Amino acid sequence: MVFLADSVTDIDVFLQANAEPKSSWVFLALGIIVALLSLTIYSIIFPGQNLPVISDLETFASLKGQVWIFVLGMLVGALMILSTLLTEVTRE
Amino acid sequence: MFVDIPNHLTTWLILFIFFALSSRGLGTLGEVLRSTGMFLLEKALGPAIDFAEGKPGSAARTWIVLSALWLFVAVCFTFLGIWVGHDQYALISLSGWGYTPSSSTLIAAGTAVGLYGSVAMAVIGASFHVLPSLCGTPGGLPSERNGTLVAAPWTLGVIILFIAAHNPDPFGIDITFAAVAAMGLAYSAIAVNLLIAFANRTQSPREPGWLLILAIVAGPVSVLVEVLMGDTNPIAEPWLVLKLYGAPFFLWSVSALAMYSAALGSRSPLWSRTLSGTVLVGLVITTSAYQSLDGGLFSSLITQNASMPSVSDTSRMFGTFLVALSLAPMLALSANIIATIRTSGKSPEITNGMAILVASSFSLVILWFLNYSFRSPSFVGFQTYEPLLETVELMTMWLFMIPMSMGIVLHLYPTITNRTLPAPERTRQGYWMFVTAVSAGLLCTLISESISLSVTEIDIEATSSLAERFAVIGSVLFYGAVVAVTLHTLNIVRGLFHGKMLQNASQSARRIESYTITSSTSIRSVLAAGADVETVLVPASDTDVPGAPTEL
Repeated sequence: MVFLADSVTDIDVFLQANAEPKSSWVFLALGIIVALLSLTIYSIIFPGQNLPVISDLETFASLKGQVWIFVLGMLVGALMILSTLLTEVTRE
Repeated sequence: MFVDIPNHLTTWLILFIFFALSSRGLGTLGEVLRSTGMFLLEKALGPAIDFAEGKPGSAARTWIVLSALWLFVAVCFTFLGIWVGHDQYALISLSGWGYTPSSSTLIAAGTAVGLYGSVAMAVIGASFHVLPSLCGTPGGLPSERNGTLVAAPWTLGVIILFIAAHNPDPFGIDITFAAVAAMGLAYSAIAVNLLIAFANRTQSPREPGWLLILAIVAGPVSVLVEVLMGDTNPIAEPWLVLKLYGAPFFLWSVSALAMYSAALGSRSPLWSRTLSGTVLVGLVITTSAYQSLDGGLFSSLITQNASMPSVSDTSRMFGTFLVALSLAPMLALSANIIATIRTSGKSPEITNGMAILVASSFSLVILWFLNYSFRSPSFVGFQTYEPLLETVELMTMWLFMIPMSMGIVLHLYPTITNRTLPAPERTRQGYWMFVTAVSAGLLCTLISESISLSVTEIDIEATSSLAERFAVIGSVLFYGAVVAVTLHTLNIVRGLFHGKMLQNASQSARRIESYTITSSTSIRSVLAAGADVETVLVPASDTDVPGAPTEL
């Protein structure tokens, strides 16, 4: 396609892409940018202070010493594999 | 006296002689060797051979299913090892039963099982199918029964290795040798089986086939050269095992099978024959140096307590040069796989293993740089990054070796078992969980260890809570890999009984409705993709895919 002059119609064709991202992705990207901006502004206004509520949440660190929860998950997985093997092999 | 350069040169020379002789055939001698080999594989075993079934594909199926089971054990113990790394009393209650593993013990057990149980068994099982296919061997694998049967001694070897990783000498003798002996017995039968398949070929095996057969013979050749060239006793020198099941066996065979799977799985010819040749020649020349300088890099951890023999400064320099040069075949392998899978212009399929092949090809180059950066000081005798090497080795295994073998298994599974995987959605979930969990989890662990190392380096009396937090986060994230591998293993096991029979599946999948053309493409590529006269060819610019290139 050849564009002759910088008329409004041509510019529109030139600038308009064939495909657009889905609206959900646009909102997701905007959300991430807004979150980052908020964090930055908070750290400027209240330097050195923890975030309210969010900073009080215990994340993975609270799982220290709780390996048995994960071991239980592994045992369930092993049992699923073993039971599948045994029941399928002995199925009539 | 350990002189490494002549050994390297001799190994390459023997491999070249093997290549030249096998290209031209051995004439009458070949006939004699073939019949002797078949006698050893079947009749010499007496009634034992009747324990195994000889249906086509049974050997490959046995090895691949066992590899999936071992993978589950490997991921569980690796996870526990990472966890105990930051919480050393986590499993203290097991001491009542006499089991008091440390972090390094658990990781060594997971690694031994992961390498020799999962990766090696997947590689051997896949080779049983792929090599006869590449060679056009009439009747497929010469002895399916022997191929199936030798899975037993190999599995026994892995079990003993697993025990030896916890306690190498429970009865006062080093049981690692028993493991090596059992696996060596199985390995010799596997090698004879594959060599006969190779000798009966009706066509050239192409570059992946050559790499695969060289991977099988390179280990025994390396050991033979060490014994002949030096005063090495193969019984008393445990590090020799690194030569038998080291970089050639794992790295070359995984590379060859990945190239095969990428081409067949994406239904596109391999993107570049030059790159395939670079992989073949480059890997043979450069990566054999890995196991001479350092036991870890893409090699095995079978001999944890065995120290590598010291090498001269000239050999060290020569080896370091070769290791640096190995970037070329790594880049070639990575580029060839990614470009082949992306030739059709579509996203790689997750369910047939193409996506995980692409992911591990990407990570290969990153891992090479990580390995080279952290290991180069140890090549010249400094232990600067020694504490980080365990995690780098884990990353090499869990981001390259294991995902590659998983991709190969996912691709070959329908052909080998004659059934499709029963739950494509489970495969997709497993893929995302595995890639995310392993990369994020091990990266956090590496960050944690880097912080600890920095704190130690500056010699201050402080414990870093940040390092501990990263360690906890890393281990929790790695648990995603346990869940992913559980899904993968369940899928493999259930597929044997509930997978759709391939005949029905292949009829519907034989013809493709449309084929997207992104650039100039040969008719051969289009036909190879499964197109026929009814297939619609769609230029890439006509697609409605979001984010497609804009026509200017």
